[in-house]
Amino acid sequence: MLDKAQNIPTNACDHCVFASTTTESKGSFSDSRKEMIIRSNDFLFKEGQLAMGIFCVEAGTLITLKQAESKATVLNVIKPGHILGTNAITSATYQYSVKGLTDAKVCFIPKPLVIKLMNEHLPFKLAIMKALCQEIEATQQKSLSLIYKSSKQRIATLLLEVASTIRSQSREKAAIYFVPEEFAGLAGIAAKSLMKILHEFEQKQWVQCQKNQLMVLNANALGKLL
Amino acid sequence: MSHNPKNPSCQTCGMRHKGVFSNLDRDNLTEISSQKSCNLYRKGDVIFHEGNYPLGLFSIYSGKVKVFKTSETGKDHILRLAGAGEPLGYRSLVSGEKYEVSAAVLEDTRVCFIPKALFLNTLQGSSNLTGRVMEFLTKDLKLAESKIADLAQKTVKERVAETILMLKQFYGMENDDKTINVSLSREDLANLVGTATETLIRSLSEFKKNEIIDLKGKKIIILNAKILEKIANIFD
Repeated sequence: MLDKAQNIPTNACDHCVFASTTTESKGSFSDSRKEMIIRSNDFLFKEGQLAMGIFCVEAGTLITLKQAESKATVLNVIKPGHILGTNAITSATYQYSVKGLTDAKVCFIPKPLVIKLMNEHLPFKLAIMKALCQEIEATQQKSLSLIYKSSKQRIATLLLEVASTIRSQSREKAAIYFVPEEFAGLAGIAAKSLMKILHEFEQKQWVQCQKNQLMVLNANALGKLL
Repeated sequence: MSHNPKNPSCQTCGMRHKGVFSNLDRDNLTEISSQKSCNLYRKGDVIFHEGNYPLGLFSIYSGKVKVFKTSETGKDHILRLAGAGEPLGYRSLVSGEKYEVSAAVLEDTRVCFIPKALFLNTLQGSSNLTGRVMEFLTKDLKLAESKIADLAQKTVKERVAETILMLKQFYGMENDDKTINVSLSREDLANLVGTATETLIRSLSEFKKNEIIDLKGKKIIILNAKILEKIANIFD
């Protein structure tokens, strides 16, 4: 999967918010942006860390976490095309941690450049605002699903969500790198109940669990749960 | 004109410092002031519905509004309460999408309306306004994120205590300095906490039994704020 990600030509930025910047400024932009590879389970940045810039996800899936006391709550699943750390623009520190769920490729854009572009190009500023709006929307949606959906439904949603991002990149049925605690955090339930429900799914042959690999076999059946 | 209660002018609006137009330059402000309208909504009236396209920006002049989302099962969930000075529905306006939420009035409320075209034009011309909108967006995002953390990690009891404290901060106290100056129905309160009405009532009566709060009809009287804060587990 990662090999494929690495083959994306450098004009991948055409799809992201920076597409609205003019070609002239794109020059300075391509010079100062930096691509990085994040392995699954590696932190991209941590909550409270000094914000140096924003990240654009090019490939792979990441999760955002918020640390409270000893427990970490997963806020959201981040897919390609999303921007991370947008709050860096207005505040000095990041307000959540980001961790790779699968191997991922991100593009780092330093804060001074973002601010400069924002002041020079209004369309860019509007695009950033739009991205923020979508982020808020997704976050609110997630808090609603925590209230209204059963844990089974939440797990099914999560599995489908992660599976779809992987499949769209590599066609065949790909295994999800699986850490029980993480997934439990994502679905907002205890790790024990997660295992119970996954076991149930496995008996119905909807998913397949092997050590830390998870495969979705019957996406339709999972979709019907929702 | 500044004292016209029906359409208060923006230049002299005492609530402006809380809203998105707080540091707008005078020319833009005059234009907005001349084009906007101000309406009175009665308790229970809906200002806008989820799923509609926004026609403009709403800004609360006085009163209280609940912003809520309706789930597929038809249950409402209150995302936030908004008071005087706060803008409503600006996110949909900026992103150009449909309203994701509905807004309804909790008490008689005056809401100013700024047409979409005017708002977007001003947005494109004024970096003051974009900066301010950006501030609002990041603040909203922070709130939404901490809400998830709360829902996932806190018990209903903790959340109820937190909500009561939030109401205290948001609405303020009545003259006796104990009663929260708000009358929300139990259902609204449950929707705000994100739990079933029955569970909420159970928590409330437990608090009452322990003499942390007292209940008089819809009014909540805080007897022991310290214990409430302890239960709510607020660190920040």
